Amino acid sequence: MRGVVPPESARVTTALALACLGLAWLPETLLASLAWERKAILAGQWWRLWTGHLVHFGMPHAFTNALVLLAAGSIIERSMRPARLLRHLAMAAPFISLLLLAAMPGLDEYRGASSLTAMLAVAAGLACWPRAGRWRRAILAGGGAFTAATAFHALGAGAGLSSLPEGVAVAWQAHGLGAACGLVTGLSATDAINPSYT
Amino acid sequence: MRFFRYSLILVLAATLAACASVNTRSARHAGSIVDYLYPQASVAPTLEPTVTELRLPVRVGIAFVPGSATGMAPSEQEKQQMLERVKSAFASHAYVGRIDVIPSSYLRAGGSFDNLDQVARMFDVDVVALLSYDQVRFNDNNGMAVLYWSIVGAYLIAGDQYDVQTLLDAAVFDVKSRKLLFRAPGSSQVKGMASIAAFSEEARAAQSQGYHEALGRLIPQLQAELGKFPERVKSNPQQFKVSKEAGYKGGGDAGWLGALAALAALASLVLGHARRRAA
Repeated sequence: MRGVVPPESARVTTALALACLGLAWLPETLLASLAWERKAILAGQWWRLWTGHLVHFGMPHAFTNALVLLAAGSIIERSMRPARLLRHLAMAAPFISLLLLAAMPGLDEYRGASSLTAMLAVAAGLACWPRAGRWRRAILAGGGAFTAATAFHALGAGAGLSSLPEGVAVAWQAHGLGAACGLVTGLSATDAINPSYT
Repeated sequence: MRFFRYSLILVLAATLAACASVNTRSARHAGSIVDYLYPQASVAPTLEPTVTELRLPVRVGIAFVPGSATGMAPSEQEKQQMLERVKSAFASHAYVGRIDVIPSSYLRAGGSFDNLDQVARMFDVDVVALLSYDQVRFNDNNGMAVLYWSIVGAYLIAGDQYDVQTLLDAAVFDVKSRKLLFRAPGSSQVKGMASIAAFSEEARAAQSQGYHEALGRLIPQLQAELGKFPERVKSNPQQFKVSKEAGYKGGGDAGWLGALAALAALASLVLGHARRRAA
């Protein structure tokens, strides 16, 4: 099975999750220099297209995203080589950032790894699907919950379930973009999940 | 001749004594927020109960209220430095958007809310943090001051004492509703001694130190108030209405439910892995 790696080797997503948690300890001035900021990006600070996905609005926000990133990544990394997954993430991050820049003129600042977690979750669901067996219902339930949560946030509800601080809106559009990237990653996964792991 | 000699001694003594009493006993410099916002108020101002509308992210202006123009007043450069420190306190809060430092020259003494409205419009801010201050310097001589009678003593002996007491207060107003959102005070006391020749310079440095120490005590209080403010807004929907507009901050958030689902998925993966290893 080409591309299949052992389950304990979720190296890429573990590193990303640890990066999210580690960066959350940085002082606000440094975090601000890494966040997705419209004016700064337009002024040429292009690194923010990537780093904006790794910095968060506080530790609770970083913790929840890191946890989901780790869980989704642990599944998808069974079906994809780490280097390939890293390439997908490295391309998806600026793609999502640029689309946010173009499609959300009101958004001044964005932080959070959830678009990447949405991407990995959708990719994991797709990669697992062919051999998921009895777990298919769980995958469908997860997909349904994700869609419902996104719809809730789009309607301005569901604030109580958010780990974001006061004054920061849930950028549900980023979740949608991440999910779209996840479709590409999931379909391009080199192999379905090893049946012995399901 | 004897009368002339005594007169000369008397004049000389009076001249030398004047050296020891060149400094005034106390000096005060203040910029009062009440004088600025309510310059002609003879009775307590009454505010209509209104709902304060806050647009997120909140655009904040920071300024010193105009004060009396004396030599004790902090220089414009010192004011800018202090305002920058206050700005950094605001900058660490997510609900705060753009922050502008407003130079003192834009605020008119006794300008009241009309002047504040003009400045807020000019800088396009919704909320203004006004820093008021009150600094008093007390001067005294100690026993060593007698040595000022010699010229060398005036340069070497620290016979003058100063006591600088400073109060700074940051009051944060919503300009449209004219409501005081919260305030944070900071105070300091700086004492020292100096020779008469160096008194002005050292007293001036003590005054500057007084402002900076008072600000150092004000900032944590301001941070605490800024931290509590979102909760106050949440718990008082009859007083505050929050709206989001273009220019907001967004976070990609998997949320607590997502975290719970992730924990369940991770637990399932770990248990499955353990079972396979055992089999």
